[in-house]
Amino acid sequence: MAAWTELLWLFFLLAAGTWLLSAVTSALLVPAMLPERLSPDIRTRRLLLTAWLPWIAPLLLLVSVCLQAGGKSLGFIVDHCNFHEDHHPHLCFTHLPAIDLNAFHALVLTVAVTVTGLFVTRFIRRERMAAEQFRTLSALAAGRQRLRILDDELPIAFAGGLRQPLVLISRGLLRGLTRHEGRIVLAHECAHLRHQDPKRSLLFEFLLLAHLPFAAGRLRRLWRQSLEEAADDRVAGRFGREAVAGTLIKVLRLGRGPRVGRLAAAGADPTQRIRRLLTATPIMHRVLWRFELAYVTGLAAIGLTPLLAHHWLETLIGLLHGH
Amino acid sequence: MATSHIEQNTLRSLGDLEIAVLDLIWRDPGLSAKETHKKIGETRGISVNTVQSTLERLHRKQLLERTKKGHAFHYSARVTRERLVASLINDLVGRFSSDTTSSLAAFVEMADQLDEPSLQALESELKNRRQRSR
Repeated sequence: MAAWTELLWLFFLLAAGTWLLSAVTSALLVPAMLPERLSPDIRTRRLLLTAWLPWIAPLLLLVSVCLQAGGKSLGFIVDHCNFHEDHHPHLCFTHLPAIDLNAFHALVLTVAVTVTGLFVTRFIRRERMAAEQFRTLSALAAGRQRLRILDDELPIAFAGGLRQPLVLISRGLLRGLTRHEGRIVLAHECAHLRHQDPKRSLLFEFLLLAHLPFAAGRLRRLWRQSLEEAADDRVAGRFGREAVAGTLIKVLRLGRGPRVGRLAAAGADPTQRIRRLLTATPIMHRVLWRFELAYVTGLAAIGLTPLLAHHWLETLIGLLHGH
Repeated sequence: MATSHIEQNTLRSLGDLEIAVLDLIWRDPGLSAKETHKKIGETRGISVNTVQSTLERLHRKQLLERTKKGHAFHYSARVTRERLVASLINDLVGRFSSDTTSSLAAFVEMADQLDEPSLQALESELKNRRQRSR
């Protein structure tokens, strides 16, 4: 088989191994690093960093390997390949890897590429469908400005739209709230739009494709909770925490009907939101930077591994191929 | 107007013209393609054929029903506006709620199904907080 395919296989192994390691790390460690008292804005930032991890880590390792291989070819790095034995895999462009690829390797690569493609295609299709449905719903709502009224008795409000962000609020919700409470709900939805939450959520959902399923679900719940609490804080700054909590409770009361029961709970845990608004415990805005430091250190370790543990990495790959 | 089960795929999307035609038919049922074109096609600068195609598409999506009067079909809504809006909301919120699927890139403020004791507990906490702050 052509030498470049063997190099591709090596890169695939490195990327897959790093992906798995970073996905497992995200799943196990992150929830412990997001205490509830932490400001929701800081939580969303950390969650976004976590979501990026299984994408950045493999890319970083591959770039590092390529830089080192390239550096060796250009003479910036000592040619350590002279110390290798012939059958030892080489992570460089000069000495081609001594790996015999067969149909099994081709099958694994094909499956990996196909599964990845399917996941991405399914995601794009799903988001497109949802966006089209939202657009259709917006067009059927009354009004043509950024706020539109849905002719429905379900007490509900939406904030969304990527190209044309707007708020949809149902007659059922408006009828059940006082004018002041309606302004609070509207302010909350507008807070999502002002902060570009729909776009950030779309990015976050895309990044979650690279996470293990159970971890993706947990991260998604934490993300939604943080975004809702951040919007609550912004609105509470204007209307007061008690007023916002009271409005949320009123919305919950309005929802106690048969149709709502058929629809599952959407988004964040409202009880946690209300308790948080009513609690006197101060919110941690001061960041201890432990998470960020661990994150950067971890990435640096991944980036430096080809440089500091080059031979170990090649030996590991060799062992995986029976050398 | 009879309501009917709306197929999942009909809820996928409706174009601007489809919505405009539906709007018109809801307000003024029993129109032919020519009559529909006269009311909304001329102002939009589109041909009768385009309006005809739109009506047929909506019929295939089971949103319109038609009866033949003479040589032309006359169209009426098969689904009320309220039913269509409700179906779209149900579908969107259902999509959003499902943990295994990607979220709608939007936010849904919706009443959760809390039981009465939980609601009363929250109201009691709010009342206590208000009394403490006075």
